[in-house]
Amino acid sequence: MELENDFYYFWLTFLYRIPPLRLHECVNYFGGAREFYEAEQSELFMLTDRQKRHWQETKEQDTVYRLWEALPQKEYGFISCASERYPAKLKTLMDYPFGIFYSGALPPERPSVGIVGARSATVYGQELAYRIAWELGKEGITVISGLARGIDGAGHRGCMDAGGYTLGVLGTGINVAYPREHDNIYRQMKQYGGLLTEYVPDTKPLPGLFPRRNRIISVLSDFLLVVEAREKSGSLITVDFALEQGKGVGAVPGRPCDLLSAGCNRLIQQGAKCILSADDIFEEILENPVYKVRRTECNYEKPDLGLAPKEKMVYSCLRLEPKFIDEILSQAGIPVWEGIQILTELEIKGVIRQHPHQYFYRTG
Amino acid sequence: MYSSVMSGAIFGIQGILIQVEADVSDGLPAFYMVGCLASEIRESCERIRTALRNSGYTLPPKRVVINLSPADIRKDGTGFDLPIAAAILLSTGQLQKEETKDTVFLGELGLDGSVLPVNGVLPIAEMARNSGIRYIVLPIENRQEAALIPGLGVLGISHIEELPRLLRHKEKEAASFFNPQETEKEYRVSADFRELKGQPFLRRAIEVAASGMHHLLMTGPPGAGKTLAARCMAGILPELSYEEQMELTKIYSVRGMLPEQNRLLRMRPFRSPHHTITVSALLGGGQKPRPGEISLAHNGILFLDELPEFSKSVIEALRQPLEEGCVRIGRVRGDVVYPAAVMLVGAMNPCPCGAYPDRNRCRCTQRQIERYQGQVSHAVLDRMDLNIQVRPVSFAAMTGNREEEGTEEVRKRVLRTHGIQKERYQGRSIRFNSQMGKNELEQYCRLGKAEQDYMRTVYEKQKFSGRGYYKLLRVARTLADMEEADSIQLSHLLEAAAYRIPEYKAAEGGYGVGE
Repeated sequence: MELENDFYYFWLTFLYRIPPLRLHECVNYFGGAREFYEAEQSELFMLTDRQKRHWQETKEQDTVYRLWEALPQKEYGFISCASERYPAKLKTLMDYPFGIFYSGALPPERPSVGIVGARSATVYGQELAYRIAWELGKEGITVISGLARGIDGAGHRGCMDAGGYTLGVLGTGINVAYPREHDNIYRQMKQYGGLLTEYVPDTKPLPGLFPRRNRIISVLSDFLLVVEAREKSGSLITVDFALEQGKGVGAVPGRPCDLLSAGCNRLIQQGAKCILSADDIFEEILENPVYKVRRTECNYEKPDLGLAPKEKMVYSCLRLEPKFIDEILSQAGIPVWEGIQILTELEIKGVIRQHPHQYFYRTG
Repeated sequence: MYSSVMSGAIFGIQGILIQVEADVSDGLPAFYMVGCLASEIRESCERIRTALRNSGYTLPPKRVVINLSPADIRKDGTGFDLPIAAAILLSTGQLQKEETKDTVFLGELGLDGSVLPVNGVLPIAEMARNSGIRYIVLPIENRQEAALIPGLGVLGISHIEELPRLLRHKEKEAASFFNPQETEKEYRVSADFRELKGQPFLRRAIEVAASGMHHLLMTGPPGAGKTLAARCMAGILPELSYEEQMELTKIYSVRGMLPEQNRLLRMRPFRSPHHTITVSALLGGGQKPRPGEISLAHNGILFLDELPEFSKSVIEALRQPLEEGCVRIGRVRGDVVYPAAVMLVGAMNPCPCGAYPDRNRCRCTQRQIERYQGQVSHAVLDRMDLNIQVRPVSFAAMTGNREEEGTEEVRKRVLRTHGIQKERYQGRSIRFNSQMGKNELEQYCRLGKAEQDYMRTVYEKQKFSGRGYYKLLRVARTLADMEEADSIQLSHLLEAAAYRIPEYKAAEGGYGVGE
């Protein structure tokens, strides 16, 4: 029986225990995916014994073939690297995936920005990531991230809320929503954005898989933004990839003593662009002659808050970072009960929020 | 010959009148005891016989039958030794019927005839007085406790030999022991409110909680002053009213925990059980039901430090008592009810390391934090009226010169608010705003137009539960009382809303942007 060519690429994605570069070598050596599939085990001198066994196992039972046959009924799709729909940017990778699984829409031919950062981000960092992503989304710029907790999730949300397209590159199988609390983002993105992974369906979240997918985030982005990162952070792996691939890198600065911004500050020190608002990113992308994007005027305008004098006083004690209620009350210099009332009132007006409970910050 | 005397047993914290009947008749010498007795009462026949013989009484070789009625209540404890002995003496003609009339007997006997003290005297004495009995004969050590009940002649006895003489001169003996009503003298304050510096929100929340006896949960890192705050809280609570003193002293009497026998407890209790406590130790229970820690904290504070460290079943078991203000222990022979109208004060860390939300110090994963906070279920959190965060004070605030109000001043204000509530709930079964039921809520928490509109917004926006809505109203009522306002105003609702966590879990998972 003659198998479709795409099947061999599909099969190659199951060989995840063989490092991607080695896999490319093999395919090149045999002159194609199909030839590699049909090779004799004795010919596989470039593989270790374990890798050979892995190679054999994937061929033995027809599990892979059955999955291949069932593919049309699934809610996700598969694109081999031979297909024209395969994102061209991916091909620039030395070890590009032989095939990708996707659900939702594939990234459009438009400028894109990767947003990465700490998973245990502060509220301040998440708020910033959200706002920058919101502005990017409003301008039709794709936001790419990894659907992780913290900054990643905030970036996706911001872009989606602005009606933009956002792409999540998963470190798990396409049908595995991870982390669990992002289940709702996962579902929304299937509908309004897109999800993409090189791992086969049902792949569980394993520590080794996440750094590898970072190269895809960076290669698909035209510019990479780091919002909050510790000195040793997974986000910096993405930065390394991006630099290797010749992408622009920017970071949002933080206070020098802030551990969560240490990585960002270091990047800036080393020459990354200091990003203070979305405008700085537009500038960077507009310089890129490939895209002729015309920016409309900034429409993230500040509403006139229309606060009473006392409310203004309390409001002035607040910052973008959450501040504990005791500090606010001590600074405001009004009776405690009055201060508490005003805080609630401001929250109802929507100009401040609290997170966690009783830590207040401005919304913008 | 048949005879009977009266004694008392404890059921829950109520005394029950028990008839001790004795019949001494011809036949083979024997000693039978019936009437649903626990083993310690069964054993008492040997004690009583020996004690009577050693005290110079004669016990003829006859058939003795003892019955404790009503026979369907299980009797335990050692307090029946003396009444049984008295009934036998009466049957054998060594006491006169006239002498034992109108008298309740209570006491344990030693083999030499000495009378030993027992627990639970106060409820029995109260029950005796209420059922029109005039005298109580009981161990001399318990004499002062019984004297807390006015209108009851108290006869203390130290040896069973004294019984005939004591009964013959009842009136004189009872009058010679006159004990004025007294309460605990000293007002113990373990921590002064002044020590809470630089935490205006915490101070305010504590005062509000104390004013309406609302449940309070404090969340904060170690060393933020949660335990100190709870201790301060005990200090600002006004003393118990006479009725409350009586209720509480009865519970302590049943547990045998009265510190000074001749004094009613006057301070509101502050109980702080360790987190390894079991369900039955907290709520009460056991083979022979005893009130638990929650009842010992009745009308006062039950402080649970490190709330998530308590076993989950213990925390969940609190749900019903918090709602109803009493503990029901189901037994085949009927439910035992212990009062448990406590003000629950809980303290917990925000995460296993305690530093959250300071992400520079806290390296706990989101999962760890959620699991830690998940120890305290939403259902329990929902029952907390005030839910506040506590943060350590800065050095400047701690050492600053700013003079804060001390315990005395704050207590005066709390007392005034308690007074308003006392007046309002006169003749009702509740005492404080936190205990308001549906009827009271409708009557005392009527809202104006603006307030109603506001509540609608909050309810829909913050997705309160029905219980959350009423909790908010109760706290608002307390805030209004603190200002001596007749009706709840918008400002009260606004402040009350700040203490509540609307969607606790959701607030932790998301971060409030783009919902």
